[in-house]
Amino acid sequence: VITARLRDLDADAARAALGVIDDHPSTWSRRDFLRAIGWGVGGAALLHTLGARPAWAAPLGANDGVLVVVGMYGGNDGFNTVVRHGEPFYSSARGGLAIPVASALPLADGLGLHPNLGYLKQRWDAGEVAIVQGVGYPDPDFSHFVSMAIWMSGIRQGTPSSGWLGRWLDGRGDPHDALVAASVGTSVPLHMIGQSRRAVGVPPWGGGFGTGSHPNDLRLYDGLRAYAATPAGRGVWHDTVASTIRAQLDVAASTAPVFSSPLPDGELRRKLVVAARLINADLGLRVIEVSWGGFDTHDGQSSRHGACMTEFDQGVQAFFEALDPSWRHRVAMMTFSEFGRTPYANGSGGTDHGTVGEHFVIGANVLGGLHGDAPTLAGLQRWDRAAHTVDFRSYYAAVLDGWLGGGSSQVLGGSFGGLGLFRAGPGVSDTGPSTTVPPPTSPPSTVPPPTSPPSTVLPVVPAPDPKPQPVGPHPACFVPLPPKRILDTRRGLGAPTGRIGARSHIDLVVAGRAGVPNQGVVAVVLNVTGTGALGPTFLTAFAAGRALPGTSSLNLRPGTTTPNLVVAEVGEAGAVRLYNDAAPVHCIADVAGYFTSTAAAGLVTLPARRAVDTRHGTGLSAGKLAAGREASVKLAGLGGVPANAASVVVNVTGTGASEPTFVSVWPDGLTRPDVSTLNVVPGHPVANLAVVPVGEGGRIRFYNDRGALHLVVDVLACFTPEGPGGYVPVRPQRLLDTRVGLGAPKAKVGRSPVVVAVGGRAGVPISGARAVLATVTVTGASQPTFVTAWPGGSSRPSTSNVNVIPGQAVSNTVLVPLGPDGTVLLTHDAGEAHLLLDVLGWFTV
Amino acid sequence: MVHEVSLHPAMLLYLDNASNVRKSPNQNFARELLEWFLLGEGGYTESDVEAATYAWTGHNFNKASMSYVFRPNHHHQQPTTLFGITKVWDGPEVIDAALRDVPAKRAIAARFIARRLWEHFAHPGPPDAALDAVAAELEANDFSIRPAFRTLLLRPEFQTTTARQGMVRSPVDWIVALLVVTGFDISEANPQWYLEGMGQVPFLPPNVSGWRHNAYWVNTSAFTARASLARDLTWKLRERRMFETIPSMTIAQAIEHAATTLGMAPLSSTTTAAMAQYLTAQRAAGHHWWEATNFLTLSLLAPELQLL
Repeated sequence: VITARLRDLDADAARAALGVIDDHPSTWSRRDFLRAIGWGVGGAALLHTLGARPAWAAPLGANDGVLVVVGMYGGNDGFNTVVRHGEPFYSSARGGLAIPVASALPLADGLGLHPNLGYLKQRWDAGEVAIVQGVGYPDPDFSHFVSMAIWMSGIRQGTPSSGWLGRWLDGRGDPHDALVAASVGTSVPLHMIGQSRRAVGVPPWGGGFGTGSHPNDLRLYDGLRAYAATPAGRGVWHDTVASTIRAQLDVAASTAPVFSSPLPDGELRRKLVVAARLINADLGLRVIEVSWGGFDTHDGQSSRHGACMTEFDQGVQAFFEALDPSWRHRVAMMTFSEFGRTPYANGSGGTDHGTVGEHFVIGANVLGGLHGDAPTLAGLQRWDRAAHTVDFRSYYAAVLDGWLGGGSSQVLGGSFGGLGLFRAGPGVSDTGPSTTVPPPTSPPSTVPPPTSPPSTVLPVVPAPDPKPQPVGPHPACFVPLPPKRILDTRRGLGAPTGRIGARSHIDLVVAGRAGVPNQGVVAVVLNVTGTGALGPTFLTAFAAGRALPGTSSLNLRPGTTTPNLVVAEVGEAGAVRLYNDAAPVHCIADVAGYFTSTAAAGLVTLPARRAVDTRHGTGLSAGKLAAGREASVKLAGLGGVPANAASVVVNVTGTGASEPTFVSVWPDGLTRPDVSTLNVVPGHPVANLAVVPVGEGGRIRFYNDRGALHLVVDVLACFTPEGPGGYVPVRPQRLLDTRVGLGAPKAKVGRSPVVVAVGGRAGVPISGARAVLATVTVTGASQPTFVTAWPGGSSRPSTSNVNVIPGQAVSNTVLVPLGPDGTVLLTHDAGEAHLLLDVLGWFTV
Repeated sequence: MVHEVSLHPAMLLYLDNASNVRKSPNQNFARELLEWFLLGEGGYTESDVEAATYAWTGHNFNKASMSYVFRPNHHHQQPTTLFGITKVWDGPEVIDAALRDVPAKRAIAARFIARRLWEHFAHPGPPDAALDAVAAELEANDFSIRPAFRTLLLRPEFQTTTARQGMVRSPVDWIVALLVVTGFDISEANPQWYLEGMGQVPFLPPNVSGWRHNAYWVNTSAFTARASLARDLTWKLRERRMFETIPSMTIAQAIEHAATTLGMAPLSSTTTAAMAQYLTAQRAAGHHWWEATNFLTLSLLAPELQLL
């Protein structure tokens, strides 16, 4: 034990080493420590993808849960916090440290609370305290530092560089510097540091730069804010620096009132009262971290642990007394500690580092009572530790999914269910929802997860994913761009020359390229083409830095060149990630436009209508388009396309090609760009969605490269300056997979349409969505035909969305209005095939 | 330089080549060497990493002397295939192959290094033509940095608005700029207390890829530390009577004084307007000492001084 203690850091040093000193002079201990053990400061990374976008003090929605995380550093003795009289073992193992039955506060048969936890007992009696028993993790480590790092990271394996709540923060759509998470203390600990974002540090005594109140100070602050009064004409970074100077003052000012009235003494009480006032201020905070130490009771435990329990009890009481009652149903508090202590007392009147601990979740909406199984103590020998009964990740998952809106599988890298710690969701009082905001939606749970993927090509969603819709989505408007190629791995454009490897990705920077601005871009529209695949594979486009969604954008086979229009959210560093699954493949991407939160045009959906069909002389003269020839067609004024449409959404199909070729589509009046919209080979019709700016005379133009082919063009929608429909991207999610019975019976689809419920799922609202953008994939078709998608409750249009090739998986992006009941209908014209639908985003009404 | 860095005890310990031995190879250094110091991601294959790892086996660290040691019995003596060449490789030969002997790799390395230079001194996302020119200069001069850097500085793309406005000063760059313009000695200024808060502790990059640019430095936490440092320097500079004459100048003179003294001229109209707004408000209220003091803090935090 002595040796172990000498080798280990004490709890305070470990705690200091696992935090980032925030805004205050450091003692260098962290650097010295990390140097000593040879770790990098991965966790300290201050990565921010785009510049600061000030959006302070956004009040919380009525159903946004607020979490207060209380860290008890040093290793809290769970056995003397929740006392197990029922175990004969307890008094024999604990000897003089055992808490007498008479003084423990009774919880249940054979179970009591530490006598100093009187306030907690009151809350328990009110049914507002959940006790989670036997929490720990596999293969326990007894070093304060390592075990603290494991608990903070929420990951058992490897060197932790981010924390569980930090990764939750990463997944949120708020502007980067919004006050969403805060640490009350001088440093931000690892659990509050994500891969791209971290909590803001709020010093427990206040007084950081920007909190002065003297008129001289205020005039200085006004001067500093004025640096951001107007764009300086010196580039985006000048303006970003200026707006961040202003934002820093805003944060300081937002938190200053918290310190304007006296705070209690005692570290935990003071910090928790600061936390309560921060919540009362309604600054938009969802997670607040506080912690304190003193739990490493190797000796003198009775008095030392008793003092810790008193401070904890008084701190919890001070917090709930300082919290405005209007927050009662929206706030929950949870505890953690890096480990428990040994069941046996040691020879110094103390206990040594153990394994499992008992933890509390406290709040009006908490499901009071005992959770998890009690750790087994009987039969343990002198140095034995108890085995854990609840994995710490299950504990975290219950809080993430039950209180913070979901996402536990992304945050924790796996599914850790099993605990239900909340009686009701945030903001729900006993009289029903207190709210105007609908609670996070989750997909129907009746769909059984598939046991094994039926295909090696298409990803299968492992289980229904309760990703909530983002709170207060900000619809974005579309800005079309003349098509421009920004990626071609065949010639080193945008990425190194060479195929993207299997199970690899490239991050394609789109911000600041080809007319896409550096800032304010919500999603980008790319025509992605795969070619030269060395085996069957698929590509998935999604926001760089996010978890890989279980969806596909493009399915590829050797010997074919396949494009698809994708709409991908822009992630870290202004990049879209292109993931390639199973075999090396070349990738080409052409920018078609972007969605921005700041300007431009909204979507007008139109009844799907065929504008061109060269087989029948519709729109263009009858007959194939020859090699090297261009043709233009006027769309403005046609079938509801207004004269001032900025761009049109068309599904372009090529058929009857005499040799392999490609088709380009672009606004009339511009030079033909070096891009391809559609790649066609003889024998199979191929379709692709395109978003094309309307050119001169309201026309768009087509070009065929080689041979000759027929063109079929269906107009689906257009963007106009006054168009109402803003775009809201969602995390791509599969809503239909008839191979496994997801979203529809497990059977192939034929002429009779399959109904896909989209509204209310995958972040698409139940009402208020005009149209949905989705990737439709067809596989296992028995004969060449096509798939049509149209809104529920209307009759089938004579258009096609995906052209089906027997024996191949074929995808196309579809833009389809939602029916009044939130559904979309899909039909497979001849024969039968499996259909998949991955939703990408939706357009507001 | 890559040769020297590779065998330096700090590198041997940092990226674990100290423990890279034939029977228990450790890929850490070999991988990062190819990814971050020579070729860049995509410029090599996984089997190149494996071969390079074997090449570096036995290049270890002697704890007794705290220095580099080559241990032949721990060096892998079997042929491996690196960059398509099969032979018994020795660690330093990996560097020579990438930078000199294998033309395809040399071209990749030149472009990789040219990109890193451009992104450090000009702006992220280098123009292809400039990249080609700098890379060609590197290849032509055996990777000598001086002629390549000269080419970089003389490129028309380096004179563009994008390049002029492309970079936020890192904390260290900003501190150096502050020290230069104020004439402060670093031992008096003691800026090190604020470095971690600003996000950059010297000799401790977040990971082997080094610090990033621009947005990496711009967030409210880091800017609290920047403001605190500016405030700290203000007190010290005011003890030396810096800006003492500001209250006796016209507003235009005061702003001109700040711009020239602190090397920020010409100021943007927005910054000029902000300074004028401050001085006007403060003069209406009086308090000459505070006027000079807070005007100094305002000037030290001006965006012009925080950008390269």
